[in-house]
Amino acid sequence: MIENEIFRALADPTRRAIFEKLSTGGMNASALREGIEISQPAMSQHLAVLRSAGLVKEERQGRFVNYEVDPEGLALIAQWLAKYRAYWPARMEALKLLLKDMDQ
Amino acid sequence: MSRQKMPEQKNAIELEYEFSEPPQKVWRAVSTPELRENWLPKEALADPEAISVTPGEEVRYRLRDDTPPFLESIVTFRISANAHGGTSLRIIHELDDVRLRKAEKAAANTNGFCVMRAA
Repeated sequence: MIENEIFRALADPTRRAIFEKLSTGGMNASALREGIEISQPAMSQHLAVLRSAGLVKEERQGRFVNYEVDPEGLALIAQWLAKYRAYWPARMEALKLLLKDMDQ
Repeated sequence: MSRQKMPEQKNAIELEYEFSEPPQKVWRAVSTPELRENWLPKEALADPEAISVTPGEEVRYRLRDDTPPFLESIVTFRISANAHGGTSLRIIHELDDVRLRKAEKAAANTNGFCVMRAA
C-alpha cells in the first residue's frame, strides 16, 4: 500500500525535514544537506525512501541531480483524501453532540 | 444523523449529513467561532476567519493539515432545510495548496499549444 509507504517515509524526523525543505522548492543533494547534520550516503538513502514512496522525484540537470516534491503529487493527494475521509465523520459526531447541548 | 457519500471529483471530498435540528441552529454551530471551536478546532484551520460567508447558507474556511507537508485546502459548509424540518449539511472539501497548483499549471503548460474545438 502506497499510503503505508508514505507514512513510513514521513515517520522519520530526518526524512520529514528533508521533505519539508524540498517543499519550498527543488534543489540538489548538497544544497539539501546544508543545515542538516547528515552524511552524503545517509542523505542518498533517505532520498531513495522518499522517492519510492512517490513523494519526491529526481531530475538530472547536467552534472547535478535536482530533487523536488513530486509535481504530480499523486501520493500526497491519495494520503490527503484518505485522512479527511476519516476526519469528517468524526467531526460530524462532535457537531452532533454540540447540537444536543445547545439551547434553541 | 445519516451520511451519504456523493460522487467524488479528484482532489476533493463531498459529503452530506442530515441533522434533526433546524437550519438556524446548525448555522450557528457552523459559523459562530466559539461554537465551531467545539467540533472544528482552530488548529485545523489555516485562518480562523472564514474566507466567505453567505448568512444562513454557506461558510468557507481555509484548512491546513497538521502533518507534513501541511497541505492547504478549502472547506465549504452548505446548509439547507430538509423535508423533515431538519437540516442537510453538505461538506465540500477541496485541496488548494500552492505547491500542487504550481504542478497543475506546469503540467498544463507542457502541452505546447492547445486546440479548441466546437462541441
